[in-house]
Order: sequence, then structure tokens, then C-alpha cells
Amino acid sequence: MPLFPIGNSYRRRNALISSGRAFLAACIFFIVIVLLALRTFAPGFLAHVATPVWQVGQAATDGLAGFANIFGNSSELTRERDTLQNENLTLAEENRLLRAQMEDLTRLTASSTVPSGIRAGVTARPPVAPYDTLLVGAGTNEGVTAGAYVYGPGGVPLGTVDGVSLNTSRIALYSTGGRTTDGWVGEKRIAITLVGRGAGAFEATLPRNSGIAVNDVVYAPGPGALPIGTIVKIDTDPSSPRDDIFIAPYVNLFSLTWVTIAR
Amino acid sequence: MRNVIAIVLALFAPLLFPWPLAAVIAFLVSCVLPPLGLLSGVVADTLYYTHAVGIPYATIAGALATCLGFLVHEFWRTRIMAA
Repeated sequence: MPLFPIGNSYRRRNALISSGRAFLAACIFFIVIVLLALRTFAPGFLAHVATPVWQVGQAATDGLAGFANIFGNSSELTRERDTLQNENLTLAEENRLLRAQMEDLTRLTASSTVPSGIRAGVTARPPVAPYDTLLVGAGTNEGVTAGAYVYGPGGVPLGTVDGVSLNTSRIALYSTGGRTTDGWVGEKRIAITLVGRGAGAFEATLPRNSGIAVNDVVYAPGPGALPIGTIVKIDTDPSSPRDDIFIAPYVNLFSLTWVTIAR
Repeated sequence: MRNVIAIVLALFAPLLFPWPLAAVIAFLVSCVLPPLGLLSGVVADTLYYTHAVGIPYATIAGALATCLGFLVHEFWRTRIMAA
């Protein structure tokens, strides 16, 4: 038996990539090229194909959560239910009062702050979707157009439509990392530039002593100025003439199920 | 069979799992079959990329995962990383 075999098996063992693997790799690269072509020429097609998968995933998540609740402590669940019922009653009462106030104000200003438009269900949201992107199940068939404003519950501005296909739309949120949006802050409506930080949060800078405090409301452009969140932290550096402010959103993107797209 | 599972994971992870977990899965499957990292990244960008982002990070990360996966795969195959 030779010390160093020089047959076929020797070559096969030391080949960088075997023929079967090379074929598989070629197939994968072909799929990659097809996907890149889809991204360029039909950006909404894959989202349309993936919608049933997202729906099954959402249903599975909800089902698992319900199943896990079966094993929860019953007394703890009862206590939690009572607390939620009380909170619900309180909130319903507050809601009734606020609705009455809003109707008064609407009559006064002859316009509603909650925009009307196309209601669309969210099929993919952060953290599944990176880049702070939402995918919704409404497209050109429902009248959605690129660049349209998108609002969350209560008319909170969320972003704009970036791409539309027949039945799906891709929404770029204002809070996308690095995206800048002009807005206002506080009762005096001081103009600021909001910079997205991802996950719905924003940051901005303001001159020192501008009179802004934590819990001040931040507004984004919509029909007028619409509240988008509140200031949660102000960082002051003695060596800088400006303060860094951090803004938490009103809408929790991770549990968002419906949005309204302006016509 | 292992390759089939890796391909299915690479295709479906960006649809079903939070993106940090999908990124970990993309790296792991690229150790099994290196081009799958790139495939996973391209799937993620085809679904979620918007012009507001500017740079297709998922595709770039997928390409990096493919390079790393290729190295790990070859080290493993030549027993450099074997226990």
C-alpha cells in the first residue's frame, strides 16, 4: 500500500469544495440573484408571498402565549384580572371625558386631529423586521400610494410609505436609525430636528436654557402638529452649548397591529 | 438532510424570528453551507429594506457571515477546529 495515495479518493478528500456542494452553492447563488432582481424590479412580491408565513407565525406566537397561560398561577391570574378590570374602568372613564373634550375642540377648530384613511393590518414589525420597518397588508388595490403619511392608534404619526405593491406596503418609520424629521417640542412649539434611534425612539439637540423639561410633549408634522412622544431624559454637558434630549414614543411598535395610511 | 434544514432555516428565519436571532441563525447555517449567510441577508433586505436606511446592512452582514462561515467550515472539515 503506498504511503501517499494518489488516486481519485485522495483528490476528492482534499478538494476545496466537492461537486455536490458546488452544485448546491451555485443553486443558492442563483436564488440570491433572483432575489436581488426581485428587489429591484418587483420589491413587493416577496412580501406578498411571505404574508401567509407571517400570519402563521403570529398565530403560533399567540397560541403559545395562550397555552403558557394555562400553567400560570390561578390566584395570581385572578388578581391580575381584577387589577386590569379596575384599570379598564378608570381608563374608560378617562376616555369618555377626553372624547367629550376632543369633540368640543373639534367643533371649535372645525377639524379632527385623528386623520381618516386606509386602515391596514401590520404583518411584520420590529423586532422581526430590522431597520424599523413595518409591512402592512394594504397596497395599490386599496389605494395606498408611495410617500403617504402613516398614523398609529390615536393618530400618532409613525412614518411614510416607502414601497407599495398590489396588496402590501413597506413603511419607513420616522424612528429609523439616522433618519431626520423636523418637529416641535413643548408648549412654545420650539422647532427641533428629530433623529431616529430605532425601536420608535428619537434624539435631538437643543440650545442650553431653552426651557424644555422632562415629560414635555414632542410633535411631528401631520395635518398640523401631532404628538409623537415625550422627553424622557435630558443630557447636559458643561462643555457643550447644547443639550441632548431623548424621546420615548407614545406607540409601542412591538405590539402594533393596525395603522392608518392617509389617502 | 442537514443541508435541507439549513436552507429552510436560512429562508424562514428572517420572516419568523427577531432579527438578532435571525442573524445568529444566518451565521450558524453559513457554517454548514457558506452561501446561506448571504442568502439570508438578501432575503431580509428584499423584505425589509427601505430607502430611509440607505445601506443594505443585512446583505453586507450576510456576505460577512458567508466569509466567516466558509473559514469555519473549512477549519472544521480539515479538523483544525475538531475537538
